[in-house]
Amino acid sequence: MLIILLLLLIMPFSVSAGPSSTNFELQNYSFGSGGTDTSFSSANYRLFGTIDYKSDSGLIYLLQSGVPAAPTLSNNDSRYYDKLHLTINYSISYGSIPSDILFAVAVSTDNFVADTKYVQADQTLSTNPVWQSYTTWGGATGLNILNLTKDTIYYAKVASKQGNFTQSPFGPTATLPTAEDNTLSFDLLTTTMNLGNLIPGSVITSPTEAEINITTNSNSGALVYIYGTNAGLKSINAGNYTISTVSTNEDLSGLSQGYGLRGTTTAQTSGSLVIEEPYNGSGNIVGPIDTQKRILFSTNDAAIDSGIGKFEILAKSSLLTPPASDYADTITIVAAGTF
Amino acid sequence: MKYKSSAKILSFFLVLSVLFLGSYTYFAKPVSAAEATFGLVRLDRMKAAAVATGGTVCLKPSASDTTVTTIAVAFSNGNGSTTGFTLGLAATFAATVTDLPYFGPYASRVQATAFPGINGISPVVGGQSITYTVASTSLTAGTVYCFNFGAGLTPRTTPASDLTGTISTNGTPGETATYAVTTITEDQIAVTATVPVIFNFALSGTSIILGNLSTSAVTSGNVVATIGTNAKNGWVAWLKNSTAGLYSTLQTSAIATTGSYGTIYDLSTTTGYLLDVDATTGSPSIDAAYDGNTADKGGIMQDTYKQIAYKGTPGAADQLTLYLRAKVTTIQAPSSDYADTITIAASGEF
Repeated sequence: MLIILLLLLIMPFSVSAGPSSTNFELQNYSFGSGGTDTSFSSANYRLFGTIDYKSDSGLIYLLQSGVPAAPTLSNNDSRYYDKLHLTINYSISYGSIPSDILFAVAVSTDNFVADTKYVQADQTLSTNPVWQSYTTWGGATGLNILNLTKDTIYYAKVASKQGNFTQSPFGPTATLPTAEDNTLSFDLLTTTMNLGNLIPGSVITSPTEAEINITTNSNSGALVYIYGTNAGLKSINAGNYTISTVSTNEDLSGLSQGYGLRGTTTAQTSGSLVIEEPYNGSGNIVGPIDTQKRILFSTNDAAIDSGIGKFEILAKSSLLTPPASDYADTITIVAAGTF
Repeated sequence: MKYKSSAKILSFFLVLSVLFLGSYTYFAKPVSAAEATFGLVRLDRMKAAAVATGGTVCLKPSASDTTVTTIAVAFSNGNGSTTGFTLGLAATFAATVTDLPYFGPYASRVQATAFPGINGISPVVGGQSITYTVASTSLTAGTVYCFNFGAGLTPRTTPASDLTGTISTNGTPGETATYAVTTITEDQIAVTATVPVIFNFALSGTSIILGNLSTSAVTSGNVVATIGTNAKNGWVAWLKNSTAGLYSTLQTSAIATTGSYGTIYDLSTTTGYLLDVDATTGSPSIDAAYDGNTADKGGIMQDTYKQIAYKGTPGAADQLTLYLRAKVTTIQAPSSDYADTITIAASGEF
């Protein structure tokens, strides 16, 4: 009976935000494990309690940390589908922000009606606030809030504190949606490359470069793969003789004959398109074109807008290479986003 | 009195415990699929050509899971008619785990781990999804798991970007990744080249000066012929000399070996004027009529082309050394104008 009575008395305080006055609110309170004396009667019983509280309006504001302005949110021109970039906006007039001013970032999908989470140290969301310094939260660069849901409006606000009993209320709210969906567009602009006559002993470069275009909002970027059909230039008329591709990045100048590919240039509107090894050599250094799908370009583990990658084909024959006009290979180019 | 105070304290702790456990249960997150660190679908062919293609599926779980029994891949239906994908029969999607992709920087690229237990499994096809069921298996957070699916996926004929789908595992809590692929007009480059027919022929010199001929020793001089060709059946070389042979106009006399074409003669035991052909580079075959094989031997030249050597395979720089050898009798008319003209020809057998 006593237990039920106590339960009924305490329940309202536990379920609500906590006891409060016009100036204070007890946000959380708990008790330690108590004393260690196990005798039935003792003068050493003790109970240790901890309380989190925040101040509200009134004179107590003299002890309150400044209320942060609304943070800046970015979805990178609607490219971020599972993250948002947040920068805390906070300044003090007399210098840099001291490291003992700590901030917590609250995030909601319903403007804090029924859904409130907090950014954690690992940049994901969870139920308990994490207090970190301005620098730890990324300073003026900010940080990405990770593992968000695509096509969802997010609200974010920031509170600060500097020592005990100084927590400010959360400041104004910023809001921004994540991108609608994952995107990947890719195109191959070149479908034929004729090397012409392979003069024995000379490295012949395709007279034109092949070009790919790629755009993706994939946070982990995208990869452009190449693979060939014949592992070389094969002639049916010459009895299926094949000018074999190089096995790794090799300089055709030093080989009697060979066949390979070399990335030449990249460009992009935003992001970064990178020529991957072994295709990033110079001069006559080429990478293999065999039947294994190999990475030619990557977007450096990040989204990219209007990436353009160009490459060329190089080949060399020797005096021992059977003559024929039907040496050929078919190169397939595919792209995949790592979403 | 003390007993009553102790009871109150104990009751208070009991109430707090009930409140704690109750609130924990109340606020505990419902079990739901976690978002994978990343997922990837790589098609073997991206061409929107109504030709079935296979592909590769990769998933990097964000959390470890020991209770996974299925992995499902949903493909875009596009606009339902001309874009997106049409799924074939289940058996065409049978999984393999060979040649899985690599991830990471080139120098430390790591090949993906085969999705456990999936090799050889055919999925269940339902709507736009294929679902592979495997024996209960464990996935480790941070490991990239991949498998290949067979050529059961047909890109429809109109190219389209942003064709999204999902990769998901069951288990606790399971992982899900949303991905996008693209179909394009053409995904291949036709590379062509010509290797022209090649035949190179060169002589190291255009004169052989034998000098004073001896009645006791064999005098020799040589020229080297170099032949390079990519003719698949190799090459043949021929030689002829002038009708008169090594002849002095002033003396109206020729130095000749008594005998006939096709026989090897030894000038150490006879006199005359002979040709010896040696294979120097590339191992060409020397015709028996001129394969003297020693410093004194050779064959009689003719004023019509006779084969001196051949090779049945291409050669980059095959070499023949042509030795002219002479030895005179004591009654040979003296003169400084003994001369002959040798003509050498060769051709490739393409």
